[in-house]
Amino acid sequence: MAASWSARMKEQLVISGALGYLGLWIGLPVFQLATAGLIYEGRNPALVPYAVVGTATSTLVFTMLYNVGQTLDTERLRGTLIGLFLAPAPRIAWLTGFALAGAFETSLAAASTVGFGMLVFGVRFDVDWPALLVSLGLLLLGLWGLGFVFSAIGLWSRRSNDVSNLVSPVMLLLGSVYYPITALPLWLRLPARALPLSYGVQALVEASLHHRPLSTLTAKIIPLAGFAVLLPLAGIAAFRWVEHGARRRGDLDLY
Amino acid sequence: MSEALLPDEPAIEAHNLRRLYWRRSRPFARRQEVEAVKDISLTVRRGMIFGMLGPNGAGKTTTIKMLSTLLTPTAGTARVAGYDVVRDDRAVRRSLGVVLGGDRGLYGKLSARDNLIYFGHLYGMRSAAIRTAVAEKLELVGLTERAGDRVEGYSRGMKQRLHLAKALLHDPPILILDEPTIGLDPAAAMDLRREIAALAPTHTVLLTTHDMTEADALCEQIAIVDRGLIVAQGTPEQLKARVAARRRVIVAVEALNGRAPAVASAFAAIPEVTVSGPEYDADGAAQWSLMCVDTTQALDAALSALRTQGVGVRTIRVIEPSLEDAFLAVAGRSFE
Amino acid sequence: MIPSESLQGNEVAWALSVTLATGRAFLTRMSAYLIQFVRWPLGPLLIFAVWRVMYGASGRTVVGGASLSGFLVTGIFGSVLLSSSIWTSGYAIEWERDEGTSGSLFLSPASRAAVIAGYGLGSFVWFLPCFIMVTLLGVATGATLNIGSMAAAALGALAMVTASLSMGFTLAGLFILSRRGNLIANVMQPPLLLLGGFAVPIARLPLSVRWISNGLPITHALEAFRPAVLTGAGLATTGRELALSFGVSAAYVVAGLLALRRVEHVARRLGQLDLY
Repeated sequence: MAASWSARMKEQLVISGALGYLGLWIGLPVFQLATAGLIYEGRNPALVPYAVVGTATSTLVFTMLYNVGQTLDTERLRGTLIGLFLAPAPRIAWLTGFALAGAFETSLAAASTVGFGMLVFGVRFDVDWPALLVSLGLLLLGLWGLGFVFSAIGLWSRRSNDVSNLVSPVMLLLGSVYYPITALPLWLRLPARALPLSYGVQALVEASLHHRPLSTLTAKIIPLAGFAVLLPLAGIAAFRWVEHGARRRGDLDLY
Repeated sequence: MSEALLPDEPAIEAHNLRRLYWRRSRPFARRQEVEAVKDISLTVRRGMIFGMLGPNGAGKTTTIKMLSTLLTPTAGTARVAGYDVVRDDRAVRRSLGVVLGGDRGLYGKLSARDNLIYFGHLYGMRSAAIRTAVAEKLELVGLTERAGDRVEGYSRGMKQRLHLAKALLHDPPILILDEPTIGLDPAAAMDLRREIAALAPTHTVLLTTHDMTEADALCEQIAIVDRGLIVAQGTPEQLKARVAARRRVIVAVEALNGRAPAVASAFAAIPEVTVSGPEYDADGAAQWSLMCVDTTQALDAALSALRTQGVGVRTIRVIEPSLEDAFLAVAGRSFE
Repeated sequence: MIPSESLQGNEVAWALSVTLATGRAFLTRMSAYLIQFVRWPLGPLLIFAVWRVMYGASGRTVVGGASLSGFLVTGIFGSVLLSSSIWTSGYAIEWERDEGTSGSLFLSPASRAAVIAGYGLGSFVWFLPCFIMVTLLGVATGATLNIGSMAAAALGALAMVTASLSMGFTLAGLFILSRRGNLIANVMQPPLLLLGGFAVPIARLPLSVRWISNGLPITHALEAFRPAVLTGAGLATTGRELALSFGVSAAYVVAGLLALRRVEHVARRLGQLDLY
């Protein structure tokens, strides 16, 4: 796990350079937040703090999508995937290592988003720490599993970058990143409620901006806990299914 | 294709080409100078197949890149089809068809036909001429039946043939082929060599290779390149004649039973003989190679040494000199 | 090749032929995978929906003097053209490098500018279904067209396309020269999407960053196109922005062509031309 984390980090830094790496992961959420802030400012400023927390939370999904989700397909394109599959190390260990490398980028992106919100839009936080930590922990577990799911989809489709680019605007639209679910038309609320990101953002908004204790967040925490259990299982199952299918067809070495 | 060539002017001419690279082993490390080509001069007559033969890293590809305008020489001059490769680079490109080594350089998502059509436009051909030329070249390289398939599904041999078709498409007078048969299986390599051989004398071909047999079979003239220099040049026969006085005697022996070092020392002591070996064949039998002028004298000495050591002779072969021997003689080291 | 079979004496016809062939090849390559047909039109549609819901949540129905949906539809056009300039015409040589064909391209005598223009042309055709779908969605959500002068609208549209292509030329040079095309493209896209005035009117941006917006030809083109198609503005109103857009575009084209020439010279000297 540590080896795959370190390899991934070194590779990212070599490809982007330290400044480029920072610019990439800080720039994207900050400018997305700035757009939301400029739209809300003057008319519905109460949504600006919401968008700060939502954007910071969405970075978790995007790093997972673009890092973990694309890692294996990238390894395939480079011809190194077969080496990973042939190694006796557990799949879950190297996949988690890749996810941890993404976690560093996420922390960076989330911190810069929060800092930008505080500095530019004057957002202030009123945190209930237990509620924040539990919500974040459950969300991370769910996303860890979702990372495996996307990894499997990326490998299966062999077009992981296109999959990521297709999924990310769906997440932005339905994941309650910039607005609560109630801002969506009725027919879009149902699919929005099927996403862990929606519950994660709502729980984190309540816990970090309104000091809501855990006991008042059960409507968000229970679904989050469900995702935290189901998604890792679904991810591992999806990954095994893709690997099994590739072995059956005899094209594992082509990956 | 219009050319700037005068009637007796060679197709390719290079004088004292030199190329330096600068490399860093890691970020912020001091740049190191690498002299890929030290001093190369060559003349390729029109209508001939000219080979540049040398091991990997000898400077062949760097020379090719300078001649095909991908790389500016650090020093020296070169003219292709009468045009200067630095000042008239666009005119040089019009006169050239180039096959670079490896299986990249084609659009994987396009079919062979679409690849050729696209390159036809890049080379300024009219649509009608492209249609005719594409059909003709696909037929020439035997890809007509697979012409509609995406290139990403082609074997390496098919890609190399398509590269050749691409290079020939605009009917350039001069072709530069960089290791055209590298990575191909023997049958595919033989097919491609046949196609290359058929290009002369209507085209001038400059090809690089590290395959002695290929150079010997295809080229009218060969330049042996080593460490950025041409160490010998001539027809294959002329090059082999340089070592014609020398023969290679291969002595294969019976079981050595631990006497290999003693036999090697005894062979090394034979006067006027260059010894290499032992090498072992699939059955584990050892053999030594003795380069010598006087075969009889060398054989007498070798057999006497084996008798002294109590080692039996399995086979003895006397081989005529090859290009490999020529390379050994002029470069002072073996090809590999 | 006999002269009658060659376009090499006629540079304009040759460049046009290369541009069309490159555009066609681009479209064939893009069509290689089914997901491309879904992802490209759907992305801008979803972004339109996100912006629409955000504005809905803010309670604004009129933005920049136009109806909300009209403002956003034109903004999406602009953002798609910006993406096209970054990821297709600008990224053309990088695409070739990724494909391993840059060596073959640079070995050919064809005009590099014609190849880049071909990528731009291909991308405009590729995005046509997307433009149509966004327009339909805009109309369905309340966008109304109000064209007072066809000339102003047509010139506005031309300015948008020209701006996108001109930025592509400049970016192509920048990307190759830096050898970090993918990274720069990713880093520059988010700020340009904000500063281009696609989702938020330029007038709402802080003064300190508006100079960047004013340096982008696509911003001026959009400032001319929007009123021409949404509020019936004529050439008298949009003329200044049109002139600015074409002027800045011309400067970008010149800078781009000079950069490309410089890039090829430097790359040949450093021995990196076939690596691109």
